[in-house]
Amino acid sequence: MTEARHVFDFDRGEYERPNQSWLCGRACEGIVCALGPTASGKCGAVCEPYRDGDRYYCNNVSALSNRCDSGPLADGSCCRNPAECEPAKKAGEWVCARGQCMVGPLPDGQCSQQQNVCRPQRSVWSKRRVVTISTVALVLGGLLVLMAGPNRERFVSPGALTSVHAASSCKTCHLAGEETLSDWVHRAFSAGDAPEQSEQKCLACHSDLGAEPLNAHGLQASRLASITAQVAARGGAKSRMLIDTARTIFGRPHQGEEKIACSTCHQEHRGRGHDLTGISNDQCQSCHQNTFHSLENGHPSFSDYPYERRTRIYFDHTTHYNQHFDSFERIMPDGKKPASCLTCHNLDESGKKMLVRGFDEACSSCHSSQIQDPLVTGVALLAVPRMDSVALADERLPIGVWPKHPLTQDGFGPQGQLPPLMALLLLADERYAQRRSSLADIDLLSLADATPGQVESIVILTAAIKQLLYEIARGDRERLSQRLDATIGRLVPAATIQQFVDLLIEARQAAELAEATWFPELSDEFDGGEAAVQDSYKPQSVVAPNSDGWVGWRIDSADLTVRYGAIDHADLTTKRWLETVVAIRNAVVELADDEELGVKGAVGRLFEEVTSPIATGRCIKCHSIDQVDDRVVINWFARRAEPDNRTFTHFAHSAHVKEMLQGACNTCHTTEGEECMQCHTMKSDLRRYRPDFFDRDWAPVLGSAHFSSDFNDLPTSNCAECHNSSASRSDCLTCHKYHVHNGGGINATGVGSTPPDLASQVDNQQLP
Amino acid sequence: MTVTPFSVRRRRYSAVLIALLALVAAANLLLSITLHRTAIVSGWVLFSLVVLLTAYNVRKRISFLPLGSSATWLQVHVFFGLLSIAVFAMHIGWRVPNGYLEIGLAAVYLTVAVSGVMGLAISRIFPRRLSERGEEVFFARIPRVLHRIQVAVEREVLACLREGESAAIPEFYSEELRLFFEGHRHFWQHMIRSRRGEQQLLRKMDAYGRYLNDQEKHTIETIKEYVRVKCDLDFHFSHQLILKIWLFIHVPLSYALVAMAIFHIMLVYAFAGAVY
Repeated sequence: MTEARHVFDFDRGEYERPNQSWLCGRACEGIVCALGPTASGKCGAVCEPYRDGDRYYCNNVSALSNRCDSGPLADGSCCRNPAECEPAKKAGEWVCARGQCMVGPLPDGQCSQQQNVCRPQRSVWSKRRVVTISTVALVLGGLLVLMAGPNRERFVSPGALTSVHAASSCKTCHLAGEETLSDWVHRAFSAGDAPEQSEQKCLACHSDLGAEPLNAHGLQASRLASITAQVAARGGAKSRMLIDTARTIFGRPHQGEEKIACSTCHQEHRGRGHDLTGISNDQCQSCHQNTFHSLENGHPSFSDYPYERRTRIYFDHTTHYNQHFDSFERIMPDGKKPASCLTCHNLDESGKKMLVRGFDEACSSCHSSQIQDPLVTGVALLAVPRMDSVALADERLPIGVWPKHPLTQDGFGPQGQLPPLMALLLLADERYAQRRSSLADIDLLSLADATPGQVESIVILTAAIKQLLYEIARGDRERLSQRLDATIGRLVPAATIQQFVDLLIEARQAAELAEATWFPELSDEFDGGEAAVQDSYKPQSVVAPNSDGWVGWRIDSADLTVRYGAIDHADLTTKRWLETVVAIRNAVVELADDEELGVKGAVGRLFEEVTSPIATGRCIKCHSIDQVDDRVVINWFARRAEPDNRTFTHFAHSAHVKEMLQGACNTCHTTEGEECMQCHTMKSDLRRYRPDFFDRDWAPVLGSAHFSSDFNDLPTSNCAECHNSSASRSDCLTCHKYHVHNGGGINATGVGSTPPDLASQVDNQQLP
Repeated sequence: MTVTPFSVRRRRYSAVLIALLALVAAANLLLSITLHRTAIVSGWVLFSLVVLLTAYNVRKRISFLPLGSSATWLQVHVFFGLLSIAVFAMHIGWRVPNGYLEIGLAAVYLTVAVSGVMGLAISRIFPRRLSERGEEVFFARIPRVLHRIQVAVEREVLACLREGESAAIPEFYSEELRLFFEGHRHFWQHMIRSRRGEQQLLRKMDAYGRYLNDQEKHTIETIKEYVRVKCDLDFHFSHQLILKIWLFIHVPLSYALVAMAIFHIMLVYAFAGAVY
């Protein structure tokens, strides 16, 4: 067979129309119509007679339909291709329904005259177009049906939520979750404040992220800037080309005070087990100044970790371990040398933080006796100034009864030597206040040449002292409150005044004893509650009675004072005195120096006296004082477990020294707790005092930011031995947390009386 | 006008593709590092690519516009299609989507992509096969050529009856050949380039021919020639049918993909409140 399959000659080849929608239906028979189907898919061989005048003429030009001789019918229809011809069946045979056909219908009932008319078929291209349109319509229709159905939330959800959010619905997190499809279209193409509103949806549940949850790290912008400046000041910043390139091209993720959306890091709809907090090291570092490869390669040294701030309790590890523990039996016969670090330290409940045990467990065996040290005389409330005995004997001083001091003591005098507490109380006496400056120039021990004016000042001073003693001895709460209102009442809250008065009232018995001992006729001198200046007093010898030991409220006959000595550790009265004085100090600190009749000076002296490390109880020897701005707070407790308080860095001791903490390490280590030393190596320098806590005069240092630890810096290599790329986890989130906030405003110092704002500020100092 | 050889053009496009892949991967990495929503960026890139790829089909409909040669468009279509697979993988984060709409969208995309890759493969393989066997015939003309062959064969068969000879050949035609000549046969055998069906038929004819007279043998030889031609045509039909049919998957689903992608984008931005 050599016949060509198809001919390409222009005059013999078949006319192909592959780009048209319809093809001749009889093409497969090889009888292709030259006309082809119409654009609407009708066969071109269909005769559609045309009218010219009053006659219809055949219009069939198809090669397949020979022009008929009879022509169209009278009504204009084709005689051969009657579209309307529908043969009928009569007596089992098909007959022409129109009765005009000479041939009649085909055996299958079709009109025989229609055989030349084909049923055009769609071209491949047209079929594809139909399929395309149908598919798109099916998809869109299906989407619309699904959107209108009850399961649309399941359908549009881009994936399962993590297990912690599994119970949430669309509207829990999305504003659009409450809307219809039309609203979605509108929302998608409109710019609004939806992002901020949606973040509030997150924060509605996650309300424990602090005051500025959308700030970087949840910190105030100023705080973040401060930290950034601190890091920059350290110098030695490293950088990685990859991260620098990313920043250069696409910018930093966070700039200045920009808010950071939750979804920047927390990406949902990734399945039940997806790690919502997962973030790569590179992503962490994209915001940070220092960029490095890993913990083992380039991580900044732990120069200030974990001591971002001064410890709250002063304890000199170096001196204790290298000096005191070697020779304590001589001066501390009841003392017990700690067996290991765990004698004084223990884990918090979470097993993460290593805390300090309480005084009773860690310190009392050596230091309890120091609290009641008889060499520490206690805080003086009242003092009877010592006078020139000659002047008293000559009756040149009309001050009435005035006790005679033992010769061995100088006693207090008016030249700045009055106890600060008494000086503050005397300031309420107007006559004393007026003479206060002139009294400062008088030597009470040498009054031979005293002028009448000086004598009058002394008389006023003594009367004021007697008045104060009289009021305290009588427990005159009203008069004492008036004194304090007159001096510090304008600045100090009423509750503090009340606490102050309560403390003075507690000294009543001691004051009564002082009155009975030193001023037995004091009641007679006061008529109507005010001291009467008498013309003469006969000096009487006063014999100091035995006081109840050296603690509690007592009178000291050695220098004629009424004092308080701390009874034991955590003595409540001493603590209340300190807190009251601190509160008053914080209140008056803003006063000008010469304001309020020297109130600031008196309060300052009082603060210095009670916060001296050698004051009674020696509280401040161990309990440091923090200062934020001009306000101070006493750290009564060491760092406590604060599960709600999140810091940048965390370390789980229990996970690292588990065996030690379970006491199962004795097989290898003779001393339980030796593992601590693997990381915490102690310095060897012995110093008399720690400048982070005390100055050279043993005055407490109030700042807490600077601290030089007794231990050497932790080497990052210790951590990198295990936390490296080939072994354990070494990503940033192993040790660092992003959200650093003080959940619920927990008081970091644990001091109930600490103002919350101060506590939070102090607490913020923990943040690196 | 100098025409650049296809191999040269392919190397150029391959180099551009590799460069674009590297660029997209690097951009995705850097965006990820700076905590940008890479899914949004890669999503828009992917959508742009899908629209561009779909536009190739439209381009063929508007050939009257000077939009570049169809060959160039095809090359761009192929290489951007391959690029889109990489962008798609980045967009879904190299994980299997687990939302119903996302799964559907990914399935449609993958179907389009796989059909495209397969279409690319068969458009490279099949033309070579077609040129190696028989005369090339337009797909649209194959049915009428087959019809012509069938008519010719039946004419030969009927001639046997008219000449008063035995009815051996008509009977053989009726039993063994009629179905063969009436339609397309041995589709899957042709796909694997197997001639088993053809050879079986020819062997039957040879075996049957031993019992025929000379005239009938001549007729059966003529019919055998028609069988070979018919087999060649079936071979061409089956291959050209595949060349046509894969587009029935690729093209409609491409438009469906665009529609679903637009819906997907609308959903993303409607629910974007918690995204940005």
